[in-house]
Amino acid sequence: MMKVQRSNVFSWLVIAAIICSFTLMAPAVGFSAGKPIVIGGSLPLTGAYAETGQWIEKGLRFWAEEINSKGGLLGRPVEFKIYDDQSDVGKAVTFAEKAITVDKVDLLFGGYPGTAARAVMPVAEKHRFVYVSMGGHMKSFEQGYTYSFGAPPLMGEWWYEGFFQWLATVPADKRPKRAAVYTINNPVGLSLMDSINRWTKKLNIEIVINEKYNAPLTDATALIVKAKQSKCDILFANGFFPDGVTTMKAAKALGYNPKAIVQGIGSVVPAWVKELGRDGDYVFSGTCLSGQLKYPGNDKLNAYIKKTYNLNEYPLYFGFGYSWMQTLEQAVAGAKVLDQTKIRDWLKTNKVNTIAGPMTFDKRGLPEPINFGTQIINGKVELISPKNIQTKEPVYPKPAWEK
Amino acid sequence: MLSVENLTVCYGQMKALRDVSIEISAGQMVALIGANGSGKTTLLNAISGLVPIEEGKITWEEQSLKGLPPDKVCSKGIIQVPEGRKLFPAMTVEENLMMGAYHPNVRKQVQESLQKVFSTFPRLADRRRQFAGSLSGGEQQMVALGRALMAKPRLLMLDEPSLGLSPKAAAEIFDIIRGLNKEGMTILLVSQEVMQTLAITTYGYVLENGDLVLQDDCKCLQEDPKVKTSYLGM
Amino acid sequence: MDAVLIFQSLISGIMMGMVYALLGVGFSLTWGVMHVINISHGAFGLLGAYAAYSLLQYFGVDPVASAAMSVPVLFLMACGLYQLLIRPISRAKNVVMASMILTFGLAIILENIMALIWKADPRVLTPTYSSGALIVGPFYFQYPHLVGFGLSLVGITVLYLFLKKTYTGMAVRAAWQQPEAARLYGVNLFQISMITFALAVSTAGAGGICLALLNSFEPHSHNLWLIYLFLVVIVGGVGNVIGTALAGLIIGVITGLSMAFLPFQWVNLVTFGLLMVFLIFRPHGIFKQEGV
Ligand SMILES: Nc1ncnc2c1ncn2[C@@H]1O[C@H](COP(=O)(O)OP(=O)(O)O)[C@@H](O)[C@H]1O
Ligand SMILES: [Mg+2]
Repeated sequence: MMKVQRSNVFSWLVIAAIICSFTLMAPAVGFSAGKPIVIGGSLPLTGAYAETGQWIEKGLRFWAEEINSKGGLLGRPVEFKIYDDQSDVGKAVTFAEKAITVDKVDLLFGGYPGTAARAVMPVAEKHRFVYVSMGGHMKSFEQGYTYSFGAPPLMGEWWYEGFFQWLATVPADKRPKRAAVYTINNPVGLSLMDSINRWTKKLNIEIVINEKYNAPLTDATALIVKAKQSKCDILFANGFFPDGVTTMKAAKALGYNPKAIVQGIGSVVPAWVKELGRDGDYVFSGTCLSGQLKYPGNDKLNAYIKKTYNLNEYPLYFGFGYSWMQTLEQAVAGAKVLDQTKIRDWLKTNKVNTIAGPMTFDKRGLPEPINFGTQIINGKVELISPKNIQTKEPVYPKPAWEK
Repeated sequence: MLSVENLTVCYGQMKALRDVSIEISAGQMVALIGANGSGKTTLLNAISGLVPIEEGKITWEEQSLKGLPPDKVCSKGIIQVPEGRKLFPAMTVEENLMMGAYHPNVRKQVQESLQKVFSTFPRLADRRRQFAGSLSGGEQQMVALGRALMAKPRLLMLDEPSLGLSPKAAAEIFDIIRGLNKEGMTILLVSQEVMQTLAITTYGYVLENGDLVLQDDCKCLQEDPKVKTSYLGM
Repeated sequence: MDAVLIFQSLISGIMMGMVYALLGVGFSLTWGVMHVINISHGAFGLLGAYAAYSLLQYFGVDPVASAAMSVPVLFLMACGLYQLLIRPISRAKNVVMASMILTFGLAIILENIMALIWKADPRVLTPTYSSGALIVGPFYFQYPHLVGFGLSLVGITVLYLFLKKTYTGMAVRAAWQQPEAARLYGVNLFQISMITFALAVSTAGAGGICLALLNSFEPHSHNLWLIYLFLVVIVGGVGNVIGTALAGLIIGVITGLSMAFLPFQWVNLVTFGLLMVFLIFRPHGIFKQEGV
């Protein structure tokens, strides 16, 4: 009883310390001379999509560094005001509103992932702010928004285009006949079904298993047993990293050897090759951006990433962050004023050059479909399709698991 | 052996004991009586170190007990059988008894002590593997008493040991307590069975609303008109 | 229904369930004995997982050895943390609330430290046997599942024997069932609480390593793990070691069966529906008897 007071004081100290640690995690605001152009928004810097969000932030900041060293945008330095939405869609929306109405930022930067970006699009539309992001899937660009652009968009519907275009070149008798399709039950995962449905029909592949699962997928034994017993010779694992890893490990442990394994978003994360090693090899996927593309800028980004992070190629989301800002930069420079509607109109009528190639945007804010088929070969993401950008001949059928 | 001088204990703003002094010498069996809520339990808990002391002194063989935590008081051989027995319900009878000998001073002799307790309470030997929570009230009180004996008490403080027991079981417990005192154990007995208590003790204190209102030899207390009217219903 | 699929799902379900049990048993103990709901429990598990990851990566130490090593290290660390953080709140008016707030903060701090040291990238624990399997007839016993199951069984058994057979373990149970009486017979509650907390944290470390053998992990994975902790503890009964182990098995069986019989998208629904059902109808878990 005597010590009640003391421990009360202590608990308050602890609470204060916790609050302080929160504040420390809050976005750092850079300082810059003159009257900078403030670009605001939120990224998932912590939580489920932290890995992705942090790479996007690095991409944004690399762009800012570069443009500030060249004298800024419209002659003014740029600076970011980045909130951490903790991978929470609701928070992402709140922060977008806050950036526009409270912070009165000059420009909005694009966000991740599909779900959060989709939720921010109507906010941008309401306040008439240009929003260059990856969107997430086709639906987000079919809502009649006029201020949203995908440059490039992360389009689930296009994700396997490159892979299927290549598969179509394989002689019919060598193609897989029976497909097992497992899809993570969220909009991004489900959007992957679009190209699977179209192409399996075209290539006469029967979808024997077509099931959804919810995250977290803690065990994939049953998935693999089903696929194996149904003699499926192609596996579509339409998921993210954690469920992708769980599926791959189960496939190996249970000795399941289909002709091809196609994986959704997980296998393009650098951790895939780093953590899975040889077991991550031969997985097919797709991308709308790659450091191996020959468009201007890619070499510079790769060099920076090599120097700073000792990676051989810039991570996808680093490139995304950079590419959105490239697009916004050209639009602002083209419009010559910080007038959102003028910036939008410029984008609708002009061509931008990005590290993902040149793009013009249609009414929905989308460029022509962009997708490159990929396969991981010897721990490296290789471009396999279309032919003109191919960095390596794909390995097919997939060799049996190494013991 | 134990002396409490001008003890005051508070629960928040409320004074539960005011200026209370008692004295117990070796081999004595002392009674502490008083109505419900008069502060008897509080006094035992203050001695045991469970509640902090506001003012006053508690001295045990020339050493102050003030501020000592319960485990330190226990190590001096001052052992309380708490009100309501407070057994470990999901532990077996044997484990409850073994917990009595938890303190390192007495732990080495745990097997001997167990044998001794089982010979005092043969019924417990039969029930040694049962959960304490499943026993009858009388048996539970035996476990509580046995657990205290396992700690080799030099001063045994019993808080309402007959509470909730049948008259027969209560009489049995009182017999055992008297036996312990005959063997030389110093005992402080708190009870509302005033008649029975005063019959077996030598000296008594009467608490009322936190004040010590009366103290005397038990024979005189039994004759005291105030005690008679308040506690014996005469 | 196909028998192989059912049995295979059951096998892996049960093995995973046991791992949840090891991860949860300490959580249950601190909750029961100390009234501390340790929100950072999963984060300590994750710390164990990361330690095992680094030990494997740089020194080739097998995760089983890492689990054995992490126990004493985490034990000592937890003793310090107890003295520094938990002990001062044990006199708060509402220990449960205070502990939740405090350990929530601790979880965030741990998460950030882990993100700082090991980066936000997901990690996978890949010892040589990480995707191998023991094949018995038509059934596959995946090695990581087997190792996780074995380690968990050993961990829980050791903890059970400690609580049942040692004087200190007995004091832990006594302090939980009747703290005042325990104090009267010489139990120093702070010391016992410290031991309980340290044991809980060190089993969390071992459990985290087992779980890392099965799934990939990231600095924030402990939030997800926490859900499974609540699941086993609510089903098994707070503070009940055997109950927690059985809860792990039950959850494993249910997950396994729903994997085999239901569309996969229902599996989590069934598992967490179970949590709701228990909270509503059996808030004390499967066993009436309080105790270890
Ligand atoms: N923990 C406590 N907090 C507040 N008041 C208490 C507490 N314990 C006892 N009291 C109060 O102190 C007084 C004395 O109680 P107690 O010592 O239990 O009396 P007795 O044992 O003689 O029945 C009573 O008024 C009781 O309500
Ligand atoms: Mg009382």
